[in-house]
Amino acid sequence: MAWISAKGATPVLLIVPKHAVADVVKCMEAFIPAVPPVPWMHGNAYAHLRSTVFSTLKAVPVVGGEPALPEGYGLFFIETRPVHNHEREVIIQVHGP
Amino acid sequence: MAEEGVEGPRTCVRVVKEVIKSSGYGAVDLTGLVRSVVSREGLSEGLVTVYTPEPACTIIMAEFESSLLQDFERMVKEYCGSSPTLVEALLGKFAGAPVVDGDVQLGAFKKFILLDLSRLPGEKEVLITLEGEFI
Repeated sequence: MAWISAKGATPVLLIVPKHAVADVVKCMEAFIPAVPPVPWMHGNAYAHLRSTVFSTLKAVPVVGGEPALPEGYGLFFIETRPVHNHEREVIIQVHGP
Repeated sequence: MAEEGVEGPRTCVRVVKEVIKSSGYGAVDLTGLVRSVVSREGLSEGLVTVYTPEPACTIIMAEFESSLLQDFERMVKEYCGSSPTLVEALLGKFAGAPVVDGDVQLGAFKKFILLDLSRLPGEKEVLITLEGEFI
């Protein structure tokens, strides 16, 4: 089993079709808007809420030496708020005999 | 690859049951408890996961800050109404993080949090599962 984790309280990890990632991110942004009619109390709450709901931890079984993702799918690290030159840490562990 | 006759690191899985106190409605920061269990059991490399078998409770990862927790409560009410079951379905009863050199890898602000929506104050059970190499 491959476990993939992103450090931090605002990123999101997604396993989605590569061609659909931009649409999925748009849906996520609509689901938890940055600026709702009544503003969030915590300044970047939207980024935290997206991170919690969509998760910073994913698991993918390894079969025949390959992660068992569907054809055309990818694992994506998503920044949920505007950041520039921001270093991020992703930890990948492979568990098994 | 390990040489013949030379033992590599021992990997195994341990499940630790812990009981915490909850007011019955709100958030409890479990991060200190999780770190202490990882340290006590000696997990050096691997994964720690936290699960609760309690009804109407979920385990999430988020910053533990009061205004953010109020935003969280608002989102949960807007999306799930008054149904704790829907909240359990949306947020899940499990969260996890890798452990490297005995340190739980969360980043600066992320915490393990139990959200209790049961309205039943008292003791709540959490199962902390450690998987990997132990010292």
